[in-house]
Amino acid sequence: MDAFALAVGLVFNAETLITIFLAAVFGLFVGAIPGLTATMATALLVPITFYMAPIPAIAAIISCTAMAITAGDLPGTLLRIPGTPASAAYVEDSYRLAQNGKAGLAIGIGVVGSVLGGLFGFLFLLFTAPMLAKVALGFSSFEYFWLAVLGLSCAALISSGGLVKGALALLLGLFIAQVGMDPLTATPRFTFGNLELMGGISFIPIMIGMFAVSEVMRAGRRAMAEVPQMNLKNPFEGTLGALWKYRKNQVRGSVIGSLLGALPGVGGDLAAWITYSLAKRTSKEPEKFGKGHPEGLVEAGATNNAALSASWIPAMVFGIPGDAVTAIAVGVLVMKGLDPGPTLMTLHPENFYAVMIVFAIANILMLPLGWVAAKSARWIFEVPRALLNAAILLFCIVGSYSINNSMFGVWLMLGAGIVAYVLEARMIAIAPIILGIVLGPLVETNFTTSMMIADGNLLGFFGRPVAAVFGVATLLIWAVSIYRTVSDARNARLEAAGHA
Amino acid sequence: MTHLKTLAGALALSVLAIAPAAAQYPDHAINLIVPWAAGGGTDATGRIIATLLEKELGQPINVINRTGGGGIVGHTEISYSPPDGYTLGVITTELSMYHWTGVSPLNYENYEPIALFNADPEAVFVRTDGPSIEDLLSEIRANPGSVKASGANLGGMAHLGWAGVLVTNEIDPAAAPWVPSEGASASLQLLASGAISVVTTTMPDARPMVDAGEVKPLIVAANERVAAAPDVPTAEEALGNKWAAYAWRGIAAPKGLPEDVKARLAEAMDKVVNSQEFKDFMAQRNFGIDYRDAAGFEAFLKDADESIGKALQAVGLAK
Amino acid sequence: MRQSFPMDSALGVVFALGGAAILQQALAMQTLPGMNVGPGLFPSIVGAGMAIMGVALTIQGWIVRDTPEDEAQPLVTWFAVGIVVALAVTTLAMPYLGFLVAGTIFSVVIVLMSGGKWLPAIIFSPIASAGIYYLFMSGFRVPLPRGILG
Repeated sequence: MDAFALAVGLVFNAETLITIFLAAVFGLFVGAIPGLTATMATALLVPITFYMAPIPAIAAIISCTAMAITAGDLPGTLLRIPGTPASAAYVEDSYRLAQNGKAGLAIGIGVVGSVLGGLFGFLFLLFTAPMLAKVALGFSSFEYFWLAVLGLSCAALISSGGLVKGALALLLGLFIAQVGMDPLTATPRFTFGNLELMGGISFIPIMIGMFAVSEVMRAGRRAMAEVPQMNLKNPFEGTLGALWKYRKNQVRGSVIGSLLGALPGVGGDLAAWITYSLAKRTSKEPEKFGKGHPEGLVEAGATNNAALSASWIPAMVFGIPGDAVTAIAVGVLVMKGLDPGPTLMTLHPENFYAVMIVFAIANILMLPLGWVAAKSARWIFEVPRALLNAAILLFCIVGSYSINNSMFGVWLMLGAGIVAYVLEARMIAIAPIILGIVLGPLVETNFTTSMMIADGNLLGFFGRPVAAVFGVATLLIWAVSIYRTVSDARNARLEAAGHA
Repeated sequence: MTHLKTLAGALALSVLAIAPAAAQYPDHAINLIVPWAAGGGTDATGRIIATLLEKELGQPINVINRTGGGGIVGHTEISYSPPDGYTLGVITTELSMYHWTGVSPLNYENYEPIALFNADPEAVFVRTDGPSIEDLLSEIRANPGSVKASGANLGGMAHLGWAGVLVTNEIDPAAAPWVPSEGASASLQLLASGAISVVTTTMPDARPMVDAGEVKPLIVAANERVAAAPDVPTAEEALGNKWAAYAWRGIAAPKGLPEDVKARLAEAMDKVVNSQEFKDFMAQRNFGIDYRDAAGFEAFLKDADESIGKALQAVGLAK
Repeated sequence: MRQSFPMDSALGVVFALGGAAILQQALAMQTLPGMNVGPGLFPSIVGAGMAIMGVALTIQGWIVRDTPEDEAQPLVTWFAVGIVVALAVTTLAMPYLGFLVAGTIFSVVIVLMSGGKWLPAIIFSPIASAGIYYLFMSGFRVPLPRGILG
């Protein structure tokens, strides 16, 4: 415990605490702006961290990322522009809540649920980090492939329009992900010789176009929610009640988030989708999902931040970064002489604990900052719709442009907006498209890699025990869903015939 | 509306007319294009160079990650940009390969090389409980196809590094097939989980997994031993056949850069690469420094182009 | 509501044809030397899946064609089309006019289209465009097009 005491000293000094606070405000700001990502916030911080001591430097990145990801829920809730692929999982519910005059509740559940999930992830990490990292390291392309397919299946099968429409949305997303150069062989696919298309299609302009632009096209002439907006004294009113009512979801979301987050590359984006669909499957009122129901929001929100904490395990314990943010953070750690890897745990455990404590502080900081954000969020509803439309679209343009600093992103956004406008009119969900784009390359590379390893033998996908379990589970889910769809259709037909 | 447009057009013309009266270079912000994603080695080194170069030149330098297509998109954008010194780029090993494999006509002649700042040799890794290099090669000879190797994409430097080890020891590269992956960390994960047997990558990329005791280096495909791992033999020491494969990074501008701008940049890069801050950064991250000035970098690129062409032909990937 | 050809079936046909086109393109992709799977394999699977699901949607749409549905608002509204046209024109013009000018004009158009008055449109648009411009340019170092004011 000496190390722990040392770690407390490293963190609780003016320099570190002020850094954490400033970085958190910065993260809140960046995350709340549509189109700007946690990765971008982190990359902007790096040059500044060159001039800082090691612990404040890493503290800045951690608190900035944690805050940016949570703040990414704000534009999702208020304007239907999800900030991260994970928040696209539950954006329908939080946006509908806000449209029903409960923006405060939606943000409150997001923030408080995230804090609880994040703190759970912190405690979980504190005790299991090395063990969990060891398990994660045993995952090969076979396990990753099945896990990604499982996540995609969840997204497609729970979507509101039914199996066929969900699967089509998913396949469309997977196809969009294939445009550009094949990640493994650099073969151009579906590019028609266009240089911009060779670079592939980023999910951010698509996400902005599909959610935000199509929403303006559809609802832009409609008056804003006429419902009086939220309780001014306490924007979080009702949050604790909702969290208590759905406490099981809160706990389950945190646990699953912590476990999945530990898998490099998959965790963060996927975990919230899996738990959201789990919440819908086990709910007593699944028909309310996607229409402004807090249940899935509680579970997926908790998962999100638990996974965020856990995604640092492989980075810290083995130096394997799972995403761009942890990759940048690993770079900063190394530069500051805190080599991530097992030596960090044995030689300098105080540094490891210090990082953990920063996590806890960053999570707790979310409460007051999130409260202020929720309180000021009502301004959005006082802006006349006409001006808001213009502001949203300007942000959409700039956000899509900033991905590659080219107008190409804006064209993608526009095209995606039109497609989503048509699809949504026919009850085809947008969320599976986004997840397909995000996870497409992961599914494909792991599929191809596995095929190479197994010499083209499909049975090889069931050759490793964990992979076999995931694989059978995935196939079962599909079989059950297809059976249900077909028998439902037959019953409906019979019923119709009976009435006639 | 039409009046506004005419006015706007006139204004645009007048601005264009004044523009060429250039002041001392640089008088505004410079963009540095990095053809790889934020968080990778090229991004990290590019950003430190940008920070230090900013001090030398006195103007902000914006790092722009133009990713995709195995680096082709970013590399192409660098070569297409106006050669005014306000767009620079980090160019990497892959540039020597594109035109050989036929994915893009780009080659070193599309650029004005300014300085090479980094080169790291490929090394061969197995699991900590894995075989020695001799046993590994005899296993491949005895059971072709049983050993699978990985490291990065098909036809990348890691792939060539491995194929070279096989070819110089008179083994058909097809006897130990290459499993393409998204990059070093994905391949190392495959190795650690037991799905494949060999990974080739550079020492800095594999460092954390080596420290974790999960994998160990067998040989390094270099002309001499590397400072980051002094007890790992070179390919020649271990196997008797000379084989070197380096992954490199350098700063370049679009072709046609004015001489005075090029001289100013070369001078600034000379100071940056020789600064203590840069050396410390590279040493901490286990990156090898290989500094060559503009002329030296150009000669290096010409050499690399030829030798990589030969290697790609040997593996059967050149068109 | 009885339709001559249900919308879902029409959409299904579009997806089925799209899937078939993807499949046809993917099958033409060549395998690289030394690999038993090529870059066309996964796209073929996706293309085939999309074609099958497209056919399924066509059939499903046909089966339920007589089922009454909640009538949604008409798909093509002048407002939706206006937004698309305004965005397209702005995207085309921005590299020449720059973000400040193009963004301001765009904003005025959108405010008026959304039922706003001239005065708020004229006051709000330059302020919003300039605010976003400086936030992204200096705050986040995003090089937005400068155009005629550059």
